[in-house]
Amino acid sequence: MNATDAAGSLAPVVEARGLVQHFRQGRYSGRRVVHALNGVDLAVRRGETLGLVGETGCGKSTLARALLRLHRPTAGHVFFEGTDVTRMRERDLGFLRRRMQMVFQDPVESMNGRLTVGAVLEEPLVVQTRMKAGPRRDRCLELLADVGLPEDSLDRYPHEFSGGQRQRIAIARALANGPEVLLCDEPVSALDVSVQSQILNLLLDLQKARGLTMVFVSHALSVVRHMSDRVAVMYLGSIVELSDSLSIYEAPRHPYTKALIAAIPDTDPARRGRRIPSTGEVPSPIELPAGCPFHANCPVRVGVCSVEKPPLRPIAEGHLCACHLAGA
Amino acid sequence: MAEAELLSVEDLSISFSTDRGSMEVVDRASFRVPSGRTLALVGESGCGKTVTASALMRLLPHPYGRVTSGRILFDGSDILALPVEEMYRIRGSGMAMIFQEPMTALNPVHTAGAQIRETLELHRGEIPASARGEEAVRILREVGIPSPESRMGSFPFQLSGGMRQRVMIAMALAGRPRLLIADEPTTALDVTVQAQILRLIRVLQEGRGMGVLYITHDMGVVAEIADGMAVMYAGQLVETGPVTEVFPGPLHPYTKGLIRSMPRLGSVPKERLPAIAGSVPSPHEYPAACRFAERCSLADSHCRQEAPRLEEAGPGRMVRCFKAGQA
Repeated sequence: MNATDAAGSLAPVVEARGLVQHFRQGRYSGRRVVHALNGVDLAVRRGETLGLVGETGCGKSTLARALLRLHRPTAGHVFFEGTDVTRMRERDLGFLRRRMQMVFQDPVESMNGRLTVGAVLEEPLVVQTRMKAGPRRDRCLELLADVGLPEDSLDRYPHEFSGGQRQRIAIARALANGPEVLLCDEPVSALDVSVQSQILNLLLDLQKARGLTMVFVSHALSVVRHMSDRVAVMYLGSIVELSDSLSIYEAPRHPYTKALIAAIPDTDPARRGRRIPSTGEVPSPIELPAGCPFHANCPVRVGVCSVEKPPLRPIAEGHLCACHLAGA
Repeated sequence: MAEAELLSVEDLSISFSTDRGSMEVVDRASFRVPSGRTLALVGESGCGKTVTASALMRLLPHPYGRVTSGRILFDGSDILALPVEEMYRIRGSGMAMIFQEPMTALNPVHTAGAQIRETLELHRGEIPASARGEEAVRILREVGIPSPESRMGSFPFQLSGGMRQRVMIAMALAGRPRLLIADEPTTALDVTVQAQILRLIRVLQEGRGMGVLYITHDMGVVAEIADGMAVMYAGQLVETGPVTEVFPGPLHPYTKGLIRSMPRLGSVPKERLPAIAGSVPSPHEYPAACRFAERCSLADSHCRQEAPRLEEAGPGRMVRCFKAGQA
């Protein structure tokens, strides 16, 4: 369980194989199907932070939730430590809930405002363990200390706290049962800028102290770069590129990744006015295009791109790319 | 385009009346936007930047919000003293505003085309009714909407986020405003769309010599679009100056914190970030002394007892800090 254990760090904790997630939409509009995930292969290694980036609607949140088995996948498999959990019934998923937890974007909406902070933190302990009231309270106090909140927070209500503090409470709740995997879905996007870095630091500290494995979902590309060991870039329900975070940002190989990275505003006014390639409009996930999902907007497409979907394949050591034109 | 003074705000204070009495949310803010230039008004939620923008358009919620002191000069005339009818004319053709969430600015039951034609009818009287459709198509094309003829008949819900934002910009530009007030127009958008919208605003501004007041909390966007910046904290301007000078050498600890605390492309992954401690105070907690002192690593007893004034700190730069420029 040690993050720095080099040999053990390559074993996947959570894994998706050929994961397909469809959602039916509109009972009255001809039963359209939203193709949210279209055959995703992804292995999250023990102790790493895997970043998921992509634009609105690319499927990054769906993928995070699918890994947690909050959805029932349409096809494909989800494994947790080698155990196939794809078809497991909800009542058998308790072990997964203890070992894998999620932090959501908006701590106001993801928390019951009528419960005291103590009750919010206690709930997972009540549901998942047989701990008695005394030890539960001690555990809650420990959790508060871990996320940097004072002890007297226990009897106060979430609305008495600022956004950043509420996100700390949400993180404490996720950690209540000592999970090994933490999925963070846009954990700082709803916070004030001056508070975001506090929460990012907290997550970094917690990971180090507990050897947590993290999946970090965000549309803020420089935040993901900072937090992640590896980054997967998604487009229209598929992973198009995956590599260690420095290679992805410094030497992207997929044309979509290149455009995405170039669009990041740089905090250097001198770099203003650089050429930013356009990525056009993302095609509809309801009428999925044939071939490569990016072909309609790709500046370098060739004939095969509109016919055949390129597989996610290794193009260099530890670097996967789904593009017909990315040479090895 | 000469740097004619387009907008000049002097000592603007704004108060809101609440259950707990009157609350000052903006304290003597002064800034200028010349024609053809972009000033970024930077700050976090609740710092008073949006309220300031509303005051410029005389759109403060009546009767709760009030300008308690100061002047707003637009093209030489005092906005606060103008008759309401005159304001109707200025909104739209003098200054126009775009917002973060286009769905709140667009009318959901009218087509994109109808909403732009309405602006033309109100603010571009010289265009005959028969030519308005054509002009609306031209404007939609100008803001980068593909096949604008067919988009004229689209309702807002049929458009993507980026397209809605463009329609809202098209509406704002239809009246040919000389000042565009942009209130976080790209915050809800993906980076690729954001990059396009920023480029669009820049191109339109250069083409027309339009002044832009760009409100944002994103330092990346400031670096990308603005000429000058004014940083606001807890209702006060704390630092102003040209972007090319403030970025490499911020003088106020808050500005410095904003620039350095967010991860950048050059930062070392997984290293702790130099965060600003604490959180933003709410307006009834604003201290009488320095409002940032509680979160400031440089603050001493002087800072906690006395309020610093916004003072000149080199050519074109102002800062409100006793410790300005220290580590």
